[in-house]
Formats: sequence, structure tokens, C-alpha cells
Amino acid sequence: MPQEYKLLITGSMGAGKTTAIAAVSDIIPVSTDVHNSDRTTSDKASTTTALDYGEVTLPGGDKLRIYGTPGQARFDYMWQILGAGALGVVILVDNSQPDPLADLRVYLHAFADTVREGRAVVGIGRTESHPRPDVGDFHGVAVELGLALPILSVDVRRRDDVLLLLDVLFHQIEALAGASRESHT
Amino acid sequence: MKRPLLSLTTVGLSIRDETLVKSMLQVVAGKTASAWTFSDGLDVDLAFCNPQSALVLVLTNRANETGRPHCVALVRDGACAQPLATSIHAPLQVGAFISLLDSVSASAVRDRAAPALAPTPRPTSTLMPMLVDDTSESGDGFAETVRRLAKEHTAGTWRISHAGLDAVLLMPERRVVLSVPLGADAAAALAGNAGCAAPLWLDATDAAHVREAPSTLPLERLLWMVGLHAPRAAQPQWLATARVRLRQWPDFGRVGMVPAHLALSALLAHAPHDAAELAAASGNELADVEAFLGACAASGLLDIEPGPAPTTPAVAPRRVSRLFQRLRGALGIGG
Repeated sequence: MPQEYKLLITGSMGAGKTTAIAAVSDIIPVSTDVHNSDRTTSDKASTTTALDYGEVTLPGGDKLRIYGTPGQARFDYMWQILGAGALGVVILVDNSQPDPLADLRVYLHAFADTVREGRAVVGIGRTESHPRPDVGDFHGVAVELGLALPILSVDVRRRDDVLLLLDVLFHQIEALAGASRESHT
Repeated sequence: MKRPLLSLTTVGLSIRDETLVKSMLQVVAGKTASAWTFSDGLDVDLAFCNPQSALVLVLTNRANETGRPHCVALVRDGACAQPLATSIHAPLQVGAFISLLDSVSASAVRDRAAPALAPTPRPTSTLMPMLVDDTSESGDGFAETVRRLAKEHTAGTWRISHAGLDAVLLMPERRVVLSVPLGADAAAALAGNAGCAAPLWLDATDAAHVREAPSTLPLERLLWMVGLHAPRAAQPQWLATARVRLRQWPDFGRVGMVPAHLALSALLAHAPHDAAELAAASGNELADVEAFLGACAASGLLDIEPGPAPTTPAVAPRRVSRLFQRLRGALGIGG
């Protein structure tokens, strides 16, 4: 019986969730886009109303299902539903937004348990054109909340950057699981 | 302790941008080192300017004579900040706005407390008093000098000359222009033991020339490479024996990624290790681990753990399961 695994990509509207999924998915991602009715928050012409979906097929038929959460705050109830049972979560932040530190706080609060379990990584986008706040500032936000997780500058239009986020996430989970095995021997 | 009260204004900005500055001032109220108020006059500490405005010349002449105000160009993507040396990009971000206000506040408060020590204005095209950061005269190395400069100055252009090389730091972009390509040899030379010369602030004319350089690299990559390729004698003495923990992951998006460094970072972020423990846990050569620790140290990412090492030697953890090997294979991730 093929096994299924789940990965979540979350973040505010325009942070690059749909792009990130498209960068790694084996299939053309399913994306439920409609006209963006909230142009004051984001100037995108369209936005995801429900969620994005992509998948990676492993040898033997197992599947990694990748879900992108809707970025609009009114869909935040879906974040926990989608996050249940996930291998981990990738949080994307757009550094060109007015208050990206506040944006990160929202997602760190929403996924605090996942972060504490070491199953989360943060990607900060548009740092080339908007170098402030820098990664150290974002790290400070996590420390304020009593959390620790990798935070990297990325451009999710580049597949290698998306793979970097996933590889960092996998290494984190492996290191913690290895330490957990040691403590039980 | 009562916060100092400073004032700012706008010069030549559109109504939209002036409203933006006023709104941002309200947003950051109480979050800055000093209290700030908006003034319609020019006798202020900070001025957000349209660099193309004719009033900018008047204001900069005043700044040359009196040391006030600090003029900052408010620009949008693609616009040129010249003739002003300092700029901030619209749309304004809270963090950048606070950093700028605090940076100006620090120098303004210092000048008020000791006016006799205020920099002597130069009758040149200099738009700000020339500032020399003299904190590196203590004999700090290149990496320490760069880290301190990046922490204390979020604006301006600074040149550091060391080991026959020149590094120009562009703030707030956090990028660097080097006089030579950054290879292992150049990085090793910069890591050399000798104390680093004091950074020099570049005026608008010199800064403009540097900013036209065809290629720059992230400041984080400079520090990472300096630490990674530092000769053994230039590494911190505690590196070989101290147990350390990673306080913050390296920003591999800016420093460049080597697969082995991801595993090392994950192990070191989770628990303290010394170099030998980390080599055993990761299966890497000790020399490679020490180079990685040197890069982390140069980047200011390590905390030294107090106390002796545990008596039970660490067991080398294996990969968790075949799952991640299969995932990496399916995604085409090496390492």
C-alpha cells in the first residue's frame, strides 16, 4: 500500500507559495486562483482562495503531497487543519511588505507547536531589493517568542532555493530524530 | 530615563510620500530610542528629501555648517538617491524606519552631549560630516570589524583596507565590493591576524563610484568565506576545544550552500558539540568541521557553552530513515 506524506507551505499573500510548489511538483500544481478583491493588502491581480496542491512521487509509488495554505487571514482556520500530520512546514515571508516581521509573528504563532518540534523552516523573499529587515531581525522575532528555527534568504522562483528550504527542513528533522533515538538507548 | 526629543521634516516630497512619513512616525511611536516629532521647519535633526528638490542644496549646506539635519533621500524602485549619500526605499518598512531613526538619534544625542567633539564640516561636496569609526583601534580582526560596523551603521558606504585589499561595505543593502575576486586566497588574507584598520566613511562622490561596480556580494558571504578559509593561526583559540552551539543558522541563501554544512548546522543547532564531537557525529573530517566552525564564528553565529563536556561520549546518529533519502532522491537534492 503506497504511503502518503504531507508537507505544508504557508505564508502571507504574495510570498510565493504557489511558485514554490510549482518549482518542485511532479504534476502541474492545482491552484484555485480568483480575482484578488483586497488590492490594498496585496497588489496581485489574482490570489489563492482555497489552497494550492502539488505532489512528488517517490520510488515505489509513495507520494509527498504538498499543500499551500491560503494566504488571506480569513482562511487561517484551514492552516491547522492542513498542518495536522504534516512532515513539516515551510513559512514564506515577503520582505517587500510593510511589516514582514509582524507577518512572521502571525505564522510562528499559528504553527508554534510545529516549530518547537523542529519541523519548520522560514524563507525570506525579496531581500535583494528590500534588504531590511535582515535575517538577524527575523531571528530576533523567533527568539522573542521562545522559538528557534532556520531562517534563510531565498528566491522561490529559483528551484534550487526551494530545494534548499526543503533540504534544511529534512536535516532538522533528522537531527532531532537522531537525538531522540540516543536519549532512548 | 526620559527619551530625547528629536524632530524630522520632509523636503520636496509629494503629498503621498509626506503622508507616508507622518503615518510611519505614528506607527513607530514608542518603539524608537528617542521620541520624534514632525516639524514643518528646517531646524530639525532629520529630513526626508526628494533628492531632485532644489531645497536639498540649501539643506545640505546647512548640514555642512551646523551638522544638522541628517538628510535622507526617500526613493522608489529605480530612482537615484544622488546627490544624497543616504537613502531609504518606499514603501517604507517599519524595521528600516526604526533603524534609520535610531541611527540618526545616536549621533544626534552624542553631538548634543559633547558639541565640542562634533565633526568639523568640510567645505567640499560632502553632504554629511565625515565619520571615522574608531572602535576598531582595539586590534580587532577584519571579521569582527565588519560585524561591528554592520551592527552599528544601517546606512552609508564604508571602506575597510586590510591585508592590501579594499572592501567597501554598502549599507543598507548589506553588500560588499572587493578590490579582488573573493577566492580562498583573498579570504585567507583578510582573515590574517593583524588588527584591522579603522573603517572610513565614504562621501557621496566616492560612494557613487563604488555603487556603479558591476558585481557585489552579500556581506554574509564575505564573513563566511573569511572564516571558512582562515589559516589555523588566525582562527579563534577556543575553536578547537570549546563546546559551542549554533545560536542562529547560517543564511545559506546568501553565504552559499555546501551539503555537508546543512547537516553540521542541524547538529550544532540542536545541541552543543566541540569540533571532535561534531566530526564524529557527522562523519566529516575534523579539518572540514573546524573550517565550518570558523565560518560560523566569523559570522557571529556561535555561543560557547560553559561547563565541561559530558562524560558519556556522543553516539554518532545515523540518518533517521530511508524516507528522507528517497525524498532527496526524488527531488534531486544532493548530499
